[in-house]
Amino acid sequence: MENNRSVVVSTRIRLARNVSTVPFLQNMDEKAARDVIDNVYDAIGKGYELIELKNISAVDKQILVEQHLISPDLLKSKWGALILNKERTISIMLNEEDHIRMQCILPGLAFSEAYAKIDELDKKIESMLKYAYDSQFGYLTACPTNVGTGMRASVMMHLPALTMQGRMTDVIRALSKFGLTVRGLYGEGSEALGNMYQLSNQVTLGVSEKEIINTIDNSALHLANMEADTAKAIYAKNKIETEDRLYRSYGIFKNAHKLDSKEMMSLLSDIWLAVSLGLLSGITYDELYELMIKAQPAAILKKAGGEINILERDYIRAKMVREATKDITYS
Amino acid sequence: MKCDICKKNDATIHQTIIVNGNKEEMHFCEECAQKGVVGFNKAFSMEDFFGAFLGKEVKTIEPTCKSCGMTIEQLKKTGRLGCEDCYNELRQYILPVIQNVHGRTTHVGKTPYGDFSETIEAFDKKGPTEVMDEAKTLSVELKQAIEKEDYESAAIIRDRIKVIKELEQAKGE
Repeated sequence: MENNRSVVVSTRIRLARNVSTVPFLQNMDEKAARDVIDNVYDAIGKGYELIELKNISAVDKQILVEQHLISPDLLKSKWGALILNKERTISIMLNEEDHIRMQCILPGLAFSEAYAKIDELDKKIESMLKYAYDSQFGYLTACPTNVGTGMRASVMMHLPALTMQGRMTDVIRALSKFGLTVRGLYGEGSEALGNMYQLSNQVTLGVSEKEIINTIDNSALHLANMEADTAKAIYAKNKIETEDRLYRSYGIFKNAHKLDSKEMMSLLSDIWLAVSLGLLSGITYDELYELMIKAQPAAILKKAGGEINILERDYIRAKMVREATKDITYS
Repeated sequence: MKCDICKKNDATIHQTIIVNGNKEEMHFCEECAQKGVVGFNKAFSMEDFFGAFLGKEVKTIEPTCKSCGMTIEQLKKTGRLGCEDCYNELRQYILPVIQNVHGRTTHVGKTPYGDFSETIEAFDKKGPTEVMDEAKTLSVELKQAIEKEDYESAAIIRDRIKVIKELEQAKGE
């Protein structure tokens, strides 16, 4: 549904698992960590790439974080590794807080497809490795907050209109009654840069995978409709002001020669809203999201190919933005 | 085993303490332990509690996971457990934490033996006799599976029967 696509950026499902008889990360030795990597990589079969974090540069690690393929916590692990499929929709973090954290990320609202993929992968690994499991607590994790299903289902949403109206505090309070939490773009403790919010389940025990998915799927759908209606209402009520603000942002986006990441995120959110209101066209939501990830600090550093200062970084970012938005036209 | 304090309820919590230099095992029911010192919500210290109860000076031995040496103090600091056995070894201390975080204490959904949540849903829609019939049929299947030494299927059937029985009890209450 086009309506959802303008608000729902991506869907993610993550499962936390540990290998039975192997101590959790803090008590693990190098050999056990090595075995986890080798055994999981062997279990999943062909078509995947294995990246051991100790073998890649600091910039490449940061890019993986910016792309949401790994968590910042994986960087702290001595034996952290990542397994990726070709499309990069499936990523498996190894030796993070838990031995195995597998996730599936898909564009738009796509919980059933994401769960089917991750469930298949989980079963494949489980057929080769025995997981730590307890009949009362379910799948056992290093932190008691993740036991049970070990599942975190989340959805990334762009909510500029609700933010503008100062309604996010109420939204967050209402969602918490359904056991859902709201975080910023880069997870726990991060800001809602560019009006991007991540909605996820808090409770993992005593609720089945299907119930968790149903709750978050319905909430995301409801919230997407609410956001779209609010955006339309704001535009209908304040036509000139809205057009002025969004077209000004477009003007800066098209002409700036220096953009820091915060300004870029806020302008990008305006362009996104303008596209969803039909004020601008010639760019898709996927392209906007891709630009957002490509213009993050580490990705730019990599593109520059060497040491650069902040001014140079902001210059490259502005150039990328101009390039990516050159086909945008007034509708 | 009965509770050392009320002498009525069954003891589910076991604690090694040192009384005047000698190790002693103490056993409590949940109710009596709650009044004093279970888990993280200490009203007063273990020593005070046992000391007042026994009228002697008492030192407690910190609960520790036999497999990895993880203690409750360490868990409080890091919020992370040392190994899968910690859940079993320190169950009585972890349980209140889990109850607090999740609001529940028993897993439902996918298990290494299959996903029973659909069985539960189906159960909710059925009447009591239909469910009993299903449990009976499953019991026959379980016997057959064991005879055939197909233990994998037997485990699945056993768990389904368990779920049905638990649910029936819950409904009856």
